[in-house]
Amino acid sequence: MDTIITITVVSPSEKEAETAIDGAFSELERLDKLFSPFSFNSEISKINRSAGRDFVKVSVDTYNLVNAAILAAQVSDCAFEPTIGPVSTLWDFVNKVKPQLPAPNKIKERLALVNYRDIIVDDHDMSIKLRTKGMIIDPGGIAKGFAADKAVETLKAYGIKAGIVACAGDIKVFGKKPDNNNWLVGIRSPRGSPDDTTAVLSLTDMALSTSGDYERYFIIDGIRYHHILDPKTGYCANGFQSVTIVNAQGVITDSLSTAVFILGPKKGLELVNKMGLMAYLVYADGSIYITENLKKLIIKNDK
Amino acid sequence: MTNKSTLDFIKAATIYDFILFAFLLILALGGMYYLYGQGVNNGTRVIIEVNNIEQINLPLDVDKVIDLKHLIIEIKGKKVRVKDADCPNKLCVKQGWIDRGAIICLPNRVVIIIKNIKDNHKTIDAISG
Repeated sequence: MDTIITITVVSPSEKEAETAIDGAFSELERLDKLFSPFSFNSEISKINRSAGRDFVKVSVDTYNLVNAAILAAQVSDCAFEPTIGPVSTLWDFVNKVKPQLPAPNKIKERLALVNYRDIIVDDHDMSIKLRTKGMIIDPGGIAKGFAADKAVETLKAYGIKAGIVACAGDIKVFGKKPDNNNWLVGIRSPRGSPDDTTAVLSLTDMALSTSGDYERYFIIDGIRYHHILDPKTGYCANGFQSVTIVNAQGVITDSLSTAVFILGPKKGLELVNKMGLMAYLVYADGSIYITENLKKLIIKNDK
Repeated sequence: MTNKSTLDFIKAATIYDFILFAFLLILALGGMYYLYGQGVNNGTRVIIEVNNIEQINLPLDVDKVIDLKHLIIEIKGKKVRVKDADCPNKLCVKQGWIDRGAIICLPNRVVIIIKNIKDNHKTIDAISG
């Protein structure tokens, strides 16, 4: 995972804390080795290489991740698309000096390969195959939330009662702080510096993910092109500056914050309401909507 | 004039007037005491840790001298200092009065922290985005 991960735990013993944190980091490393599309030997890479050809036998974690991704695609009416890979690899957000738009015909061509229904899962054998050659699973929109859940499970297995796992924008907190208060988690202000928050939430046993148009992007002719791509068009979705989802499971907050972002203000809110999610939405014009069920967790609202 | 009219009032007052007066006086003083307690106790604490274990936790707004054998700590006027210490360099004493932050005495492994509990509430543990 090309991202900054921080783990905080509450423990009476420094040694116990260090052992647990080491354990959680090796768990994250293990998952990265399974999921990373950038590492040749990951199970996801193997599935992608075998597209249109073979089933790949996978570990229970990859099996669970892919199934969660399919579920997220189903509930979000394909807004969350785990097979966006062929299109997302056309976009280069790293080269900021001389950014280039992908050729429109190339995007159109690759969109034909984007369809989560062509992920074939053999439940009996725990193996996975992509129906068409050229299909690519991109676990980017769900792997970090999944990993945050697993890291918290690991910490708990080590006897830790409270802590935070933060995989960049995907954060999971459990238990309470030593002073018996909830953890305070800020939501980044989309157009501010990385430390500016638009709100602060008081959370315990909860996951939170933010999808923002400021994470990876470039600007050409005053137009912002960012990494949250609409699988229907192949271009970025523009209804929001950021979408934050709060739920007990990181795998849900990560995937559905992306889905709501792509669905846009109207359909996105319908998904939020249908799934009973807590949401903090910053629209493209900077205005803010907070769901009723989240309001009671907000201790500070800067705007 | 004032004295005379006060005297007249006292002469004219009945026992019930005095009871009423006493009642109002108690109410007023009680209210002042209550408000004073609320206002001054703003949550700032002085925490003294020895060997990384919290030993003493006192309000910053109550003057006090604490004798820890190796060093003497004084709280006065919402400030804290190490008044005297038996360590050779006495860096902690030289630090003087503080009203925020911490004084650390390494030789004696004593840490004196001023902690504003209200401020502490505002410290964010993580940022998403």
